[in-house]
Parts: sequence; C-alpha cells; structure tokens
Amino acid sequence: MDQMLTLTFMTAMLAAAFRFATPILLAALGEIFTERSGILNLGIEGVMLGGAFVGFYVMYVSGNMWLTFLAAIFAGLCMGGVLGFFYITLRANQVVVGILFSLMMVGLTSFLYRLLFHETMLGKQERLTQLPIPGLSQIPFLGEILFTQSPLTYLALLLAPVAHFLLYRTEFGLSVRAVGEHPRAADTLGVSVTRLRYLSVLIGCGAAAVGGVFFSLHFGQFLDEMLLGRGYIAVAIVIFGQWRPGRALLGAIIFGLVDAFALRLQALSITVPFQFLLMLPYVLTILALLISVRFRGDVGSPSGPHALMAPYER
Amino acid sequence: MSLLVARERPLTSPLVYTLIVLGGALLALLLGAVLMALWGVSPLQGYRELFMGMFGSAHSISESLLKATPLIIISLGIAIAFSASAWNIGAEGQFYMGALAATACALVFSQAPGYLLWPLTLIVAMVVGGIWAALAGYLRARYGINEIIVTVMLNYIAMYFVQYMLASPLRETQARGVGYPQTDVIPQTIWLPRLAPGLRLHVGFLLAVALVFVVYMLLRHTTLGYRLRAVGYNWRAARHAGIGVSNALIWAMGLSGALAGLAGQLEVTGVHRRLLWGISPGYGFLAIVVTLLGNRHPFGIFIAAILLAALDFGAQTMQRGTGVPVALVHTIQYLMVILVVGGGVLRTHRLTLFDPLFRRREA
Amino acid sequence: MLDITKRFPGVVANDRVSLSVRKGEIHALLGENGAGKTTLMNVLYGLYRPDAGQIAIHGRPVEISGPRAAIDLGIGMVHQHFMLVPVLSVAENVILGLHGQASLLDLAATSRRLSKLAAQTGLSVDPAAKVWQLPVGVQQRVEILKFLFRGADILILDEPTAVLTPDETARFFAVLRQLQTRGVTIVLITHKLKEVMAISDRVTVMRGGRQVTTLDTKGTTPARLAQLMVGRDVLLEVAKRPAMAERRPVLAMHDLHARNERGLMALRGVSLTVHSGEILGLAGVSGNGQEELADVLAGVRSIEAGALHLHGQARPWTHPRAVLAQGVVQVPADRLADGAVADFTIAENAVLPTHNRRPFSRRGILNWPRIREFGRRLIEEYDIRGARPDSMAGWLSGGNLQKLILARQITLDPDVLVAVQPTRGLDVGATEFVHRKLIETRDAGKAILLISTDLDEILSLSDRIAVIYEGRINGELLPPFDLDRLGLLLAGDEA
Repeated sequence: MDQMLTLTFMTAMLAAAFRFATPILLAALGEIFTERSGILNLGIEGVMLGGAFVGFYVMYVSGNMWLTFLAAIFAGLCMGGVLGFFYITLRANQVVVGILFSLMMVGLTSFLYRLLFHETMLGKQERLTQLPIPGLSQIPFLGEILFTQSPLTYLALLLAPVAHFLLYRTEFGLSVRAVGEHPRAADTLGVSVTRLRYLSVLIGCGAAAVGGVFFSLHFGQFLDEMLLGRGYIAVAIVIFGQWRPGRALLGAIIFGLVDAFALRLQALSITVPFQFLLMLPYVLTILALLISVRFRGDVGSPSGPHALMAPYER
Repeated sequence: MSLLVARERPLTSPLVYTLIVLGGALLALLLGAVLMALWGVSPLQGYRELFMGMFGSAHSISESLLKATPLIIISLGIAIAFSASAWNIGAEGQFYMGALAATACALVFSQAPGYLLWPLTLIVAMVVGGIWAALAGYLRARYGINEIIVTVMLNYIAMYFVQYMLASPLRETQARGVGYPQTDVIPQTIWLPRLAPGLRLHVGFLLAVALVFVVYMLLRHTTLGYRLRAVGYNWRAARHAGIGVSNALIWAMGLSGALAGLAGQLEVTGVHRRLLWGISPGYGFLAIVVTLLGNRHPFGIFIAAILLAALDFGAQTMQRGTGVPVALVHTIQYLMVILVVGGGVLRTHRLTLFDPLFRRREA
Repeated sequence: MLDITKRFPGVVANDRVSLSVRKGEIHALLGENGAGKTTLMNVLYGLYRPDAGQIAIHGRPVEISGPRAAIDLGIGMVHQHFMLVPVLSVAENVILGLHGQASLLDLAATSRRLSKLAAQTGLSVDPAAKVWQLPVGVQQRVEILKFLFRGADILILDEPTAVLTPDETARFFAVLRQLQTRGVTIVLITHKLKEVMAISDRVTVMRGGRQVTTLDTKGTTPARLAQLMVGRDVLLEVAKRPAMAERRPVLAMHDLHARNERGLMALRGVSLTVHSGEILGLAGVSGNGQEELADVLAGVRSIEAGALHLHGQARPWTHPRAVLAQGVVQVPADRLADGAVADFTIAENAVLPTHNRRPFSRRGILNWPRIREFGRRLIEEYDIRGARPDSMAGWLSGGNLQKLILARQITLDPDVLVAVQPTRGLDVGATEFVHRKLIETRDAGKAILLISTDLDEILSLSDRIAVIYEGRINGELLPPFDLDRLGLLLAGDEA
C-alpha cells in the first residue's frame, strides 16, 4: 500500500486519468449537442470505432497526426450523415438503428482492416505523442498531470468550455436547445428542425470519431473490439452530466480516474483478480446513472430533453 | 426546402412490409457484392460459395439449425422484452451467466442422477439469466434509469466475471500450461441426445421449436402477454387502467433473460458439454437482428433465425473457399436490418424528393 | 386568401375557402371545432401547403413557403397551444430564430428592447423569467410580444381567450384594441359568439371546411351567427332534469396537497365532496391544479398531505388498480396518452381495465371471442362509427375515440366518474353525445366530477359548481349560478 501513497504514483495516476477521460469526454460533448436537439445517438460506439479505424489507417499511411485527425473527422461526418438520414429523414427508431449501426461497424471495420492490411497482424504503430506545453509543463505536480498530455487531451479539455459557450451563448445553441425541447415552437419561428438536428448529429459524430482516434493512436494498434463499450459509457456520462458540458467534463474525469486506478492496481499485482478491476468502469457507470436520478438540470425532464427520440412532423 | 422528406399517408398493406424486407436484403447483398469485388473475389462466386455452404448438404443443414437453436430462443426472449418496450441489449451477458450457472451447478452436483440434474441446471440457468436481466428492468421501473445502457454495462460485467471463473475457480483441472479458458467436461448423464448419428444437431432444437409456440401463446393469449404489450405500446394508458407498469417491465426483462439463460444451458449440455470462452460468437447481439427481421413475431423469428444462422455457417464455407472473411457476412446481416428498420417508414409515409410542401401545384 | 383548398389523408379540411381581411380591422373567424379555421390559418402562416388557391397580401400575390416567409411578410400567429419553450427564458423565446445561426446571443439588449415594447403595448412581462414559471395569461403576452418584436402587422390569434378568466378577457380585448390603433390587423379564431360580438369589426363563418359567409358584425345577431355556424337551429340548453333530491356524499377530498412535475406544490389544500346523483362542475382557468387533481384521483400522482374518503371511510389512494377497484373511474383529459392504446384494437382497448376478470380471461388465459363480443357491444351501444372490434383504436376520430373510452369507463359501473375535459376538440355531435351520457350516468345515481376549463360546458351540465384557483377551492356556487360571482372566483378574488 505504501507505493500507492507516493507523489510519483499519484501524479502518474492523475495524468492517466486525464488521458483516459479524453475519448469519452470528446464523445460525450458531441452527444450533448445531439441529444439536446432531440436525437439519441447510440451509434456513437460504432462511430468511435470507425474513427479509430480510419485514424489508424491514415496514420499508418501518412504518419501525420494532423492529417489523421482531419481524416477521422471526415469519416465521422460521413457516418453522421448516414445515421442522420435514418434518424431524421426516415424517422427510424433511434435505439434500434443506433445499436445495430454500432454492431455493424464491428464487422465492417474488421473486414476493412483485413482488406487493407491483408491479414498481416501489424506490429505496434507510432503512438500518440505527448506534446508538453513549454513553461506550464514545468509546474511541479500540475505540469505533469495537465500539461504533459497529447494534443487530443488538450483538445478535449478545451472543447468543454467551447461547447458550453456554443450551447448557451449563441443563436445556434439556443436553437438546438429549443428544437430538442419543443420542435414545433422552433419551427413556427422559422428555425429548421431538420437542419439543426442534422447539424447536431454531425457534430456528435465528428467529435466521437476524433475520440475514437485516441484508441488506435494511444494503443498503437487497431482491434475491432478495442472500444469495450466506451461509446455507451459516453452516453451514460451525458445523462450523469445532465446534458451540460461542465458536468460531463466532471463525469469524464471521474471515469478516467477509475480507469487509471484499475490499471495501476493491476500493475501493482494486488491480490484482487484483474477481471474485477476491469469491471469497475461498468459498475461505476451504473452507479453514475443511479446518482444522476437525484439531480435535475436545465432540460425539460430528468430523462432528458423533452422531445428526445420523438421524430418531428409538421 | 429539403431534398427528401417523409410525409404521412394511410397505413399500407402487409405486402409493403414484405417488399421492404426484400428490398433491404437486396441492397445489403449489393453492398456485400461491392465489398467482395474489393477483396478481389467475383461476387457471383462468393455468393455461390455462401449459399452452397448454407444449404448444400445434410451436414450444413444440421450445423445451420444447430446455430439457429440459441438464436431462436434468445430472440424469443428479446421479442418479449421489446413487446413491453424494454430494450434488452444484454442478452449476450444473460446467455453467458446462464451457461456459467448451469455448468457450475452440473460440476458441483455431478453425482446427482441425470433426470434430476438436467432440470436443475436448466432452472438455475434461467433464474440466473432472468435475475441478471431483471436487475436492469428493476432499475428502469424503480428509478427510470435507461435500461439500454445498463444492459450493455451488465454484458461487460458478465463477460469479465465469466473470464474470471474460467481463469481460476472453474478452471479445467487437467489444463497444462496456459491452456484454453474452459471448464471440465460436465457429467455425461446430462448430455443432450443428438438427433441423428454423425450430426451435432441435438434435441434442444425441438425445445426451441416448442418455445416458439409457447411464446406465441404467452404474448397473444395470456393476460400477462396482454399487459406487456399494453405497457409497450402506451404505458401511461396502461397505468391509468390499473396495469402495473413496473411489474410488467420487470417481468418482461426477467423472462427475456431467463430465455437467454436457457439458451446458454442448451449450448453447454447440447453442444460443448463444458463452458468455454467464446461459447457464444455474439448470439446475444445477432438475436437483436433476428428479432427485428422477424418483426418481433415468434413465427417470423423462427424463420429469420434459421436464415441468419445459415448465413453465419455459409460464411465459414465462403471464407474457406474464397478467403473472404466472415466479417463481411456479419456486416451484411446488420446492414440488412438497419435498411429494413429504416425502410419501415414507407409503411406510413411517402418519401418525396424535393419536398412538395412548398412547391406550387396549379389547381 | 382566395379559393384555398387543403386536403389531409381522408379529409378535405378546407374546400375552396376565400377570406379577405382589411388592413387594421379585427376580423373574427368563427366556426365549430373541426370547421377548418385553424387549418386555414396554418396555411396563411406557411405551416401547411395549400393544395390549391392563392394568397395576396396588400394586394400583392405572395408565396408563403414557411413560417420564416410568413414572419418576413409581417404575419404572426399565436397558436391555441402556445409555441413557447418552457425551459427557456422569455427573452430567449423572443430572440429564437431572429438572427443567423452563427450570431452570438445578446440577451441583455433583447431584454431592454423587450421591456420597452412591453411598456408601450401594455403587455408587461419580465424578460428574465423562465416561461414555465409564468401563468398562462402572461405566457400569452410573451407569444404576442414575440411577433410584435419581429415587427408583425398581421396577428392571427387562435382561441386566445380559452385560457383567460372573463376579467382577463376584457383586459385582453382592450390590448387588442390598442394594437388596432397602432395599425395592427388582427384575425381572431374563435367559436364563442359573445367574443365575436364584443370585439370584431367583421366576421367570417366557416362550417365543415367551407366558408359560409362574411358579415359586418354590427349588422348581425348572435342567433343568426349561431345558426350559420352550426347549420341548423341550436339547442342552447342541454335537456336535463334537476338533480335527484336524495343525495349522499360519496367521494370526499380533505385538504389535498400534491406536487407537479417540477416539484412545486400544485394542490395546496383541496377540499371537495361529490354526491351521488349530481354533477359537480370544477371550473377554473387552465393550470390552476386541475391536471394534478385529476392525476391524484386516478391514483397516478401521490398525495403530500390530506386524505380521501369514500362513502365516509378513509381509503388508501396509492395505485390506479386500487382506485379502480374502489369504483372511482376517470375519463382522462388526454385521450391518446392516457385514455387508450392507439396500437391496440378497439376490442383490446375495451377490456384494458378488465382483461384479467371473467369472462374476458380465466386463470391468466384470454378469451378472445368474449373480448371481441364485448368490443362489438360497446360499438353498437355507443354508436362508435366506422369501427369493427378488430380495427385499430388509433384510427378512430377524436369523437369516436372519446365514445369508446366513455363506453368502457361507464360500463365499469363506477360509484364516481371523474370526467376531465370530456369534450375538448370534439365536434358538435360528439359533444352532445358525451353530455347526454354524462347526464344519463348521473340519473343512474352515480356521482360525477366534471373538471373542465370550458365554462359553457360547466354551466350547462353542473348541478353545483366549485372553482379551483392556485391549487385551492376558491368557492362554490349553487343554481341559479351567479355569473359575476363565478367570474370573480375564477380570477382568484375571495368571495
């Protein structure tokens, strides 16, 4: 137990917490927009997987991290367009389509992986490089936790206040919130429900795809089962965060902390079987949902925006 | 102005649904053909291998029905849950928990006579699977917690738990070295008899057929089924009429999980005769596809399960023959149902290019 | 508007309707429910596309492709069900959709301009308040301000007085006149003759999707308008014998407290007794706790404090099933949400509360022939048109669906029948039918609590009237009803 209390251990664990929070935070911030506009996108698990795959491939071919991000965003937008078409234009059941899409992506990415890499298992690719921020990273303790991270982590942490600003301080955010609460009211003022919902799904999928890139770049490889339900956990974080970016940030960090904790304990070969440590995030997710029952945010009801999952028809 | 818009129209005949299913299948197969071509295999050849694999011989028919058995049973359970609008995505975990419970029970009481032990393992599997699912039902009924997320989380928890059990407490006693994660063989007294010598198809398939009728009766002809459907369609009206919504949700999930657990027991006693990692190649997820393709109707599920199981088996033949990976068929299976679900809008809506809402039509 | 035709699947909502409104006038659009008034106005506001016909504004033919185009032409429409987002503030509701999506919100400036506009027009409101916190009357002001803020000079008001007390209505009309002097043209959709006479300059009467005529209000009489509107002479009174002399208290509510969805106390001490053989009308402006009281009586909302007595004994009121078993039955306000399962057949709906009793089931097994037979019986006895036991309930029109629900609930042979807004949105024929059935049920010795915001309905059916205001019973009236006192009670004055 002594090893757990050292400063080095704590710093490393907190740094890891922010690292693990990154993909979930990205996906959750995007999903907040999607759900605020009235669409429940359970397909983000699949979108993240798609992003992970595209990111892995582009990184393999080009070696350029920025190009990789752009490609992942583009892939996310494409997947968002398809999902949006089913959710919005075809008015299909969002639960069913979202789940099936996520399951389909497992098959599709695994097929494409074999197609592009001809069954050869690749060795580990270049990992997500850390980009210490000059100056700030020198701050003791904090510097290592917050300012010696990969660009993706900085991006995610920056996007939380950006999302808040977008949602509460711009006409776009106001429209999104209105469309998810009372689409007809928005429609009668000339706000296009369809356009806003498409935009929100695209934002959600773009962010989720970038979150997916984290997995393939962080682990340096692609596996069709590497997400382990992180997309669904992001949806749970949105609920826990009461559809608000700030609280989603908090939820993602708590989640990252548990993930990091489980990993560190494993490394310390403590007597708890590692399978039980691996269960922790999922148990925590259920607990988080239980806790969220006690709170209510500024959305229409405790179960989310009022028009969530309700297709709109004039 | 929008490019494409769905506008309401009177409900159309059942024929439309058939056309939607066929259309969805065709589109999915078309995409499959494109992917095959990308792989460098002629789609014609690929599909020939696939379909020959599905129904080409007594062996392939037996294997397809063997795969269909758990699919039918799990899907019937999912249909029960879906009929009450309880979204059980956790059948995979419930299946594993049922299989684990049955195996543990069989190994612990291995001295008991088969005619007692087999029913005991069956009941234990159903109870454990049922509780695993009912937990999500309870959280939804009592606290309004989204059961989709909870069942997905319970899947992972169940899978890690089974991994742990296979790694230490129930680990095969004679395992050498690292070994494959599996248990000892269960007592021969509770092995299910096979339907024909040389084939793996076992009597569990007949049980699955019987369950199709049982679930049909349950949903259509019992008060419990009536209550589940009422809650599924409109829980508020059901509540106003004195129907216990919470009870209905918990029952729906519990029955659903019990059937998944039952399927797990059959896989253990009928096919593998032990619990091993990978005993389900994703049955719990494929069953969602089966349920939706079968339009949530027990008879539809029966047909859809056999079709999809055959596709699964045919895919293996195809992979051996042409090198096209099985993953391609999985993609097609899911895509097909996404298209059918999306196409379902056509039953009540007309799709129009360039929304005519604003287009001038001279009188 | 010239020769406007609008069809929906199965119905022609507007059949070659022409309407011409002069600048600066208050024009009433009069007609029964389902006459096509709202559809016509939705066409003008760009929500529906007409199948045929033309629209011209200030003499210029225009094409109204959507609400945005209508707003740009200076048209504003206040819907019967307000188009306000409850969780947003007044200012946010006003600014919504006003600027490009990319722009920043300047709520402070909007609030200042809004306050100024409110002061000029007499529509005072706090821009920072959340809409859900406001009384309905104030929400209506927000709706109107929303369009004045956008510079609208044509205002369409759909049944604006439905949510107002008589006193508030008078004040509201004063505001409308003031707007008129500012050059605003107003189209007032209504089915109330009194209002037409009180405020409008001209009136267009619609019936069955067609325009009947347009008249100068000064040159006509309420009786003439009523005849034009309904198409025959109208019975202004429901045929009704006086209530039974012998009445026993059946259902007694003592000091009921309950919270609404947002956790605020919506019932703050309701005490009320319903007797056998009477119709007790509970009048009140919408949003004063009626919905919550109906929920409490149905057993779907829990009580914070207070007690319910049945036949003089305190009873637990925890579950709808227990409430039904005690003989307290409700016809809920929201037919499609609470009253029936749209995806069930009529026969299945007919046994919703009784499916687990004989003869409809035995030992958990349903008896389908009996269930169908029962469905058929209800269809015949309650004249549910165009329906078979196996047709889907969702296919029924509002009136026929209400008949089905009423049939089912009355057949339960209850001691107490709670009817909530029983004729909202129904046409004349169905309304008369529902009223007749309620009186028949009363004459059979049942206790009936009629909760309605429609004063005419309350006045014509009730043997006694109680008024609910802000979650309390503000007073009771006995016949002959004193309308002035009723108005005061509705507005919250202690009497």
